[in-house]
Amino acid sequence: MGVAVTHDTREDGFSGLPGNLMMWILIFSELAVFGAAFVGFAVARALDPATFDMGQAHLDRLLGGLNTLVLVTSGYVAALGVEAGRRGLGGRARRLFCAAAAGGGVFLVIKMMEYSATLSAGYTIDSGAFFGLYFMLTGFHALHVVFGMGLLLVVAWKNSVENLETGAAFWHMVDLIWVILYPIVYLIR
Amino acid sequence: MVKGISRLTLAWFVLLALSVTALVVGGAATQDSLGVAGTAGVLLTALFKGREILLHYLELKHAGRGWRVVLTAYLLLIAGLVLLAYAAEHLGWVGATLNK
Repeated sequence: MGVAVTHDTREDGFSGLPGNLMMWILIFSELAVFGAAFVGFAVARALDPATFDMGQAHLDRLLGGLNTLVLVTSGYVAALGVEAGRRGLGGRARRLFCAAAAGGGVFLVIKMMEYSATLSAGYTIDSGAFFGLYFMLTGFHALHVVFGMGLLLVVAWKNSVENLETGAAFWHMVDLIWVILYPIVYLIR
Repeated sequence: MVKGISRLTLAWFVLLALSVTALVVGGAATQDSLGVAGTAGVLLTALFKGREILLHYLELKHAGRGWRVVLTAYLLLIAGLVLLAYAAEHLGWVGATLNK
């Protein structure tokens, strides 16, 4: 059974996507929603660049960049966990998935530091178009991090190869969305 | 499998390097406008990061070619539209009256 699920032999079915098909339906719909929001953000900025540039100047670009390093590292650890699961190393897969979830925790701590600095500077979700969209997009993404951490821990516990692949696929989607969000919200001005 | 793991590790290194590149190209320590070239630059780092994640974290290198095409097209579409919106404003195609 273990051999049948290595990715070298997984080419039929739903054209070889790892994990459960339902997860991929969720991933595609998430990507569509976030994609529309990113383009909407860019259009809103084009219509009022002064407001957006002034708002963005209050963000901590280095903390946002640090969070990119944290998420891509956590994603790497989850991918290693999938490899371990395929080799039948259930205990190692479990530890790696817990470590990947801990990486999500680090991301959230940094995000809270960022929010706390922004809020104490007097900027809230009601402080104009930039901050409204900033809090909505990053907050919605952070909710996905919370959900993803829960999912990583559940599949660390129930660690069949399909479960590990499914949990990791969601986590990589959260990673993917962040690497697109970061330049659009934090850097482009 | 060993080869797969080493490519995965390489993907992680590439992602770390591109993330630092984005900070440099994106002038993280300044408030200066990036201009169209700088904006294209940071979007390119995001495109390459997205591709590493798609191919090696999400393992699309092992999936059908159609998925790679669709998801790469998704990244290109978003980056292209964001760049278009930026250029339209920066080069004064739209919003000239709102800027003042």
